[in-house]
Formats: sequence, C-alpha cells, structure tokens
Amino acid sequence: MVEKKIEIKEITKIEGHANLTIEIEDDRVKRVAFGIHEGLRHFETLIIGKRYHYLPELTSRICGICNVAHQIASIRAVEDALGIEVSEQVKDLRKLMLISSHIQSHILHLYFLALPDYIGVESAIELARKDIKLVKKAFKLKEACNYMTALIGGRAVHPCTILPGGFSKRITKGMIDKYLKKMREIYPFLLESAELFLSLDYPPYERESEYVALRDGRGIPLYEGKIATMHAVFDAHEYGEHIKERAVDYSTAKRSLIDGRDFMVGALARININGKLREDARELANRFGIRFPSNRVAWINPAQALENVHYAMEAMEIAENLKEYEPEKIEVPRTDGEGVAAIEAPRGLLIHHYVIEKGKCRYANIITPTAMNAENIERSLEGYVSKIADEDDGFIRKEAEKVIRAYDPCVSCSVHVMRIGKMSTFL
Amino acid sequence: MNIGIFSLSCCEGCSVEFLNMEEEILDILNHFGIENFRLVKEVNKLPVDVAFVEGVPANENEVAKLLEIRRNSEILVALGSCSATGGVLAPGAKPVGHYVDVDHCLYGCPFSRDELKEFLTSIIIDKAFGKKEYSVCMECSLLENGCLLEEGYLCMGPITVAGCNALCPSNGKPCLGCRGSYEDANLKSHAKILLDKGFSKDEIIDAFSLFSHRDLREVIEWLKRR
Repeated sequence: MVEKKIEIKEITKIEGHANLTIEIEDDRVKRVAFGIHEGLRHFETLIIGKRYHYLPELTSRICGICNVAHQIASIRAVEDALGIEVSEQVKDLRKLMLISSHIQSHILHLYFLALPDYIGVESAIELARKDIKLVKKAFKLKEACNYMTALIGGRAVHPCTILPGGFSKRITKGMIDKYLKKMREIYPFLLESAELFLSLDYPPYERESEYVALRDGRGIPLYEGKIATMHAVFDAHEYGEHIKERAVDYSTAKRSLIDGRDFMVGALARININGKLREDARELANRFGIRFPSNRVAWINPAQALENVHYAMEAMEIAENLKEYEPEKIEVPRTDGEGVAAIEAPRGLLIHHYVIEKGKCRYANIITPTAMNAENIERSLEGYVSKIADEDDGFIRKEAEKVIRAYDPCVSCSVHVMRIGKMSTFL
Repeated sequence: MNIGIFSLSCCEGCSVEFLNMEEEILDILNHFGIENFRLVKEVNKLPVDVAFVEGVPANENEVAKLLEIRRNSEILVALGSCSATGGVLAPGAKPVGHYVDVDHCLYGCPFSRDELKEFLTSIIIDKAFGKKEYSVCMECSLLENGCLLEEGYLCMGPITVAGCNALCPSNGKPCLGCRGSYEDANLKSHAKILLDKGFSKDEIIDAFSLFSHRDLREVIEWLKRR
C-alpha cells in the first residue's frame, strides 16, 4: 500500500487563512479537507443591540474586498425590516457602486491571485519584473474601478455615503458623467483582459453541480431578484427553508447545503443560471468556444472576465440615463420588523437577515458566498484529485491550488460568525 | 529595505487598501522589497525591516505568529484600526500593542493611504513620524465643510485623531471615530456636549463604542454611571 499526504498549511493568494489536506492511498483519494483556520471574529457581539443605521457600517467590516456588497445587502435588509421606500434612482446609484466594486474584485482575483498560476510566476510582483506593462494595465483597471466606486461612495474600501433610503451626499450629474467617462475609458481594456482570461489553459475537470444565483428574468441581477437553483426558484425570505448551515470539526467556518446538496455560487453560477450575457460578452464567449451552462470548475475565471464586460455595458446604460441625486429626509415608517436581503457579491450570493426591535438589532444571520461554496470546493477537489492521483505531489498540489483559487474564496467573509440562533417566527 | 504585510484576523481591507495604492506600489518597489504579503505572494519570508500588521490575534496561533513577526522585524507598524486600537473588534479582541511593542500606528478603517505614504517617506529620508495631535474636526473646519454636529448629527470628529482629511464628514456622514481619539481629546466634555444637544446616554454610548471601544472605555463607564 502506498500512502501519501499533501498538506498546504497556508494557502496563499486567497483572501484569508485556509489550509488543505489531501490523503491518497494507492492512487485513490482517501480524504480531502479544505480547512479554514482564521480566528473567529464575533460579529454577533458587535451588532446585536446596535442601532439599525450602524449595521451597514459594521457589517462592511466583515470583508475588505466585497464590503460594498455587504453594505448594500445590509441596508436592503434594514429597509426591508423597517418598510423604508427606495427610489429607482437610489437603486441605480447602488447598482453602479456594486458594478464598479464587482469588476474591481474580479480584476484583483484574475490578475493578482489567479494569473500567476497560469504563467508560472509566484506573484504579480514577480510578474511586474517580467511584464511591467501587463501589471500596470491591471493596476490601472483596479484604480479606475476604485475611482468609480469612490465617486458615489466617498471611498472604495468601506464606503461612507450609504444611508437607509438614500445617500448622505448630493451625487451630481458631473459625478455620474465622470463615472460614465471612466467606464467607457476602461471598456476596451476589459475586452482585452477578457481575451487574455478566455485563452488560458485551465484544468479540464468538470463536475455537475447545483448552481445558485439571483434571477429576475431580464439579465444577470446583482442588486435584487429571486433565488434560483437549477431546480427551484424561491423568494429570498424563504432562504431558511432551503439553505441549511452545518459545522465541520476541521474548519472554523460554517458550511451550507441547499435542499440537502452542496452547491456553487459566483460568476459561473450566475451565468449558468441566467444565461443572458450582453452582446459583447456573448460574442467573446462564442469566439473562444465557451458555452454555458458549463460544469468546468476552472471556468469560473473566464466567467468573471466575461462578467466584467457584461456589467460594464450595464453600468454604462444605467449611467447614461441617471439624473442628479439630491439627499432628502428619509421616512422610517416603523422601528420594529424583520428583513431579509439577498444580493450577488462578486463571489456569489450573499444573504443578510435581521430582526430589529425599537430600532436596534435583536437577531442577525449572514450567509456569505464562501460559506456556501466551501462544501462544493471540497467535493470538486475530491473529484479532480481522484483523476490525477497517480501524478507527482507537486503537480497535484499545483492543480488543487488552481481549483481552490478559481472559486476566489473569501475566508474573512466566512469566519464572521453571525449568531445562528433560534429563528424568530414572524417571517 | 524589506517590508512585509501581515494579516491577522480581520476583514483584510487594509491589505486590499495597500494594493489599492496601485501604481504607487511600483514606486514603493523602487525603495523597498516586498518579502511577505500572503494575499498576493506564494513565497513569503522573514525577517523583514518593516512589518505592517493588520487585524488582531484571535487565537493562540495568531499570537504566536505575531510574536514571531515582532522578533523578526526592526520596525512594527500597526496597520489600520483593528491592529492599532482594536477597531470594531475591540469589545472581544485586544489590539496588537497589547501583545508586542508597536513602533508606529496607522489609524483608520481602512488606514489613510496619504498617511502610509507619509510614513514610508519618513523611513526613506530617515525623518521622525508621529501621531497627529489634533482632531478630524480641525481638518473638517479647514475644508470649510458645514458642521454636522450643529446640524444635529452625532459626530465624533471633535475627539477623533486627524489624518483622514475628514473623509466621512466631507461626504455628508458624521465621523464614526474609526481612527480612535487623539492625545489631548477631552472625551468627557464631548459627551457632555452631546447630552446637552439632546442625544440620549444610550445613543452616545452606542456611538462611542462603535470603534476603539478600549480607548473610550473610561468615558463610556462614566456615562453609564451618570
């Protein structure tokens, strides 16, 4: 009997602290464990008892990459709980923020975390010594996205203008025009980077998964919609009946199952569930022979690159038709209520759920994309490593890392540890 | 000189903000080698000359990691609110300075890029770098923003250490105090002013304990006793 064990104590180039253990016996996979060893951050003690307007500020600090998604999910859950009206204009401005931060996150992942694996360098810093033009281009894209997010949000990391029902500042036509101009300026580079990420040589592994994403029947929604799987569609308020969380002993982060199955969320899931890529993105996919729905796990990378094109087109369309925003007094009809919001963060579906009493948070549950993906990551690793178990350790290790990085896991998000308590019953 | 960016438990927003310096990073690379940055590097080494540490240790392993970083660095910088003051994690976690000697703090959630550049420049030209001795309120006044406190908002600007160029008030949102209080801040007097303005004790405690709870613990206790 030949046994081998591959251990990665600290997986680099992902957001947060995670490890991987693969045990192989006679070229057969005995055990795969994707463990998260980051310390728990007890957000429940932070937000229980806090006033509702602080919830987006605090939950933003769950994640430094997708904080815009957390803020917007949080504010939507608060608005849902307290019956606060939101105008189409405010929704559009929030969508613009979501899109620029979404593309920023994808660029960070594609160029700085994923790309080094496919061109044989250890980091983008090493790449900068070989191909400074490419790295500069990636930085320019990131910078442009951050600039766009900050135009509306005040800053790119933990924006400071989002309020229940609106924004804290006037958002002038000039700001919207600057956003539009910047998006138009980077659009050719987004097309170009999509060409790069559609042409890389990805691990061939395919696995039939359950995919889960928002759906609105019109496009590939980020801001709001129903939750759709390959088999069912349900309202976000019913998430508790479908998505169950469980703990495993080797990981500090919780795992989720949907209707008893592991599932995938994120760029590939969004396109698989919705189709409906906008013209330029669709044309690119066709040109490179990429078809959706697809079960090829590592195609999460090209799916992200296509999303960049898709959402940039959407943002330009929104910005072209937007009027100046003037802050106004927001009516808060009640101080008690229960609210749920499901939105699409860059890494996939994100759910915020609060019970608010006398204006203060009494119960909170937040399910993050990486908590949803964790089980799916492990099953994919198991499946792929089984196929390459007879290869040498170095190769298995590299390929396993590629698969993990494709999911763009966000460990900080997954260890926020909201209280999973007794659900209140008035939903 | 070599630098390292280390991450303990946190949102990693400060690592992201570091990367958000975009092309300036390429300038930084002309002066410093980045030897350790797990978010973007596979090969990570110690020792380093300057260690930037974000987050707080949330378990024994992270405490051990922090001690190892301290042993293997000339200068240790607490990067961002969590690391410098405990930040939003303060009720349950202790700042990095509780465990090891900290040479410098870069406050803010996330830290201010201008301040980081100021700090790196001070290292290159061997000049002293210190904590600002004035408030966000001062920066806000210099920008001639309207006063949110006077407009009836609960603003932490008067007691919060400057360095962010009053970012939030400039965007119409009252200061949340994410940077912690400055040396001579009169915390009690600010609490009294807020009480006089009609904010409830509870509201004030809520605002004071949002960030940097430790810093403000005394005045929160004082408020509770009132």
